[in-house]
Amino acid sequence: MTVTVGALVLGAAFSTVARQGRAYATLAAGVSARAAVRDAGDVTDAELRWAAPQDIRVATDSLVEVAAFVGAAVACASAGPSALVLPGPSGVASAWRSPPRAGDEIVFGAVGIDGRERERRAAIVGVVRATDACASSPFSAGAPDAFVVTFAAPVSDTLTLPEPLAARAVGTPVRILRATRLRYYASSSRPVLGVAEWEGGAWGTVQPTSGPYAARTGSSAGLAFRFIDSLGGATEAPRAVRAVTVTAISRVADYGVATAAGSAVVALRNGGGR
Amino acid sequence: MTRALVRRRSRRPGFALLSVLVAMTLLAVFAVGAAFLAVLETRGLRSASRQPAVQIAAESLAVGTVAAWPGAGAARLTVGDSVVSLARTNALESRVRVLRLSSSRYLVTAAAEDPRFGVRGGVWLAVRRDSLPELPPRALTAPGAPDVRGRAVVDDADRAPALWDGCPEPPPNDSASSPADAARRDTLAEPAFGGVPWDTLAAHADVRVEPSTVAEPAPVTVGARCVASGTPDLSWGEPRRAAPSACAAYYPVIAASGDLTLRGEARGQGVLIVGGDLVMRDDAYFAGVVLVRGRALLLGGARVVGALVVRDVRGLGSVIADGARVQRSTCALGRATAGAAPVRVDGAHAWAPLW
Repeated sequence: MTVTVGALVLGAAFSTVARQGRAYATLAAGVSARAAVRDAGDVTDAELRWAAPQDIRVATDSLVEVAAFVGAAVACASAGPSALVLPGPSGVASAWRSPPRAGDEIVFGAVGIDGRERERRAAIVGVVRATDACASSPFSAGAPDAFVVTFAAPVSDTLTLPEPLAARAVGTPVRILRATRLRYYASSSRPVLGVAEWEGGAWGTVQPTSGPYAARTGSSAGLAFRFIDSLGGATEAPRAVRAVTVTAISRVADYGVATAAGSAVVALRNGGGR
Repeated sequence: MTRALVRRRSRRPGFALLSVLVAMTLLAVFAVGAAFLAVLETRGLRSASRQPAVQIAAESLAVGTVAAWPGAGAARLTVGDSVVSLARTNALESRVRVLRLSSSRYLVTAAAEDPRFGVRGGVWLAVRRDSLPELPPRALTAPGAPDVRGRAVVDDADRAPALWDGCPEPPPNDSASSPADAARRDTLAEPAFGGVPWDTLAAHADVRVEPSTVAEPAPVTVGARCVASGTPDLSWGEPRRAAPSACAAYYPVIAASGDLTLRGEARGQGVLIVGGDLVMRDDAYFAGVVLVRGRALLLGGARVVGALVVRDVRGLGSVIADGARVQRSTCALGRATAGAAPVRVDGAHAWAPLW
């Protein structure tokens, strides 16, 4: 009798423990799933928020290719007809997410032969770190380090303009952009959101940044991009995009199983004035 | 018999108690873990929801700075200099910096931080104040026939103001015409200047002057800085260049909402918009553009170098009295109107994150 009661008590106790363990695992899985959904919005926001419509090159439900923000700085000097010196990360006239590198794109405004200022875009062919290269510039406060960025000047400018392009960009804000892909794909059989960067000649390896998400089944997918134009309607034309909606369904099935879903809207900050 | 019973009873409860204790410990661990998870997620959610709010606050600060542009404060900055404002509202600590990049370009950086959650947001915004694209073709533009008396001069020949450095050579075919001819052919079409309505220019003025003001503005410097003179601000730049002055590079947009009288050694430069009548007498001197909605009376040795545009809405007629002078100067016009247009976001990539 006593043994039976003891067994029942132990059985009940361990059953409770087991249930509690499963509940805990489910709770933890839920936290992970919800975090993965939030991460999808955060990653998309980080890459697309500071883009202009002309920076978006590919826009599909599972892939976005964009010239993403790398840095911005006020050019403090020119270092040749096609080279600019940009203050480093610690300056008051610079904002860097990562250092520039060859293969990135430089964007700045310069007056053309017609006297009108236009946005120039050129591929960066080389970057060298320098110290005190901006020392004589009024925009160098707090930035002893600098990047000397050499770019391939557009042929039309080199032929028609008497003054080198770089010289006309000194004292103006310059942006550095990097071709970046956001892709919903299967990594080790787990669907995730990954990011790949252009490394000057080839795409780098896609790095998983958030997930896992539900697998693609038929027309439904664990993660999907939708694109919105200036009128609020859906669009598939990259240059018409003014906002991106990312919808994510995360399914975590480790020790516990949980599903979470959500969406985030990322409006492009640039390209439309205020 | 009794001893054996006692021994058996003492063994059985010990095992059960231990098992229950283990189970309870495990339950406690799971409960604490669950509570920890809940706290973790709550904190994550709070930070996640607070981060966009702080970022939006920073962006709003930048937009607000452009909307309520610190006109004179920004216009007095030399290239590379900046003005910083700090604020603390709704637990947010914020900092806005306006850095002058050139005569027309500025960089606004706005940062906000919520120390309670350790989150911060920041934005960089490139803005510019363009020069006005079209300049008056004559020294004096006025309806009807202004009364140009005696030895008064209205000179359409392009001349640089005295002692101004760096003015380009005027075009060789730009010759002087007679004062009367110049005054007679003037007519006015739209109350706009350089493609910008007067009201818009006045709304974005760097300096404002109350109606019926009688003043003798003069530049005020502190060390190497050109500063405001107080309220009203009568430090309007230094058009006389006999000696170096920090105010020589300061060309404000000044808006007088009613009548304005400049007397004595009054001097200034930039764009002067007068909502009523303008009277300049004694040795009053203004270099740049003067836009007058009422009539203009230039008396004594008063001088305008640049261009004077008069609407004379009441048709009372303007007077350029004996000894006064209106001299056309593209150099003064160009410098006065550089950065006179309303501030606007600069280019397709004006925004950038600070971090």
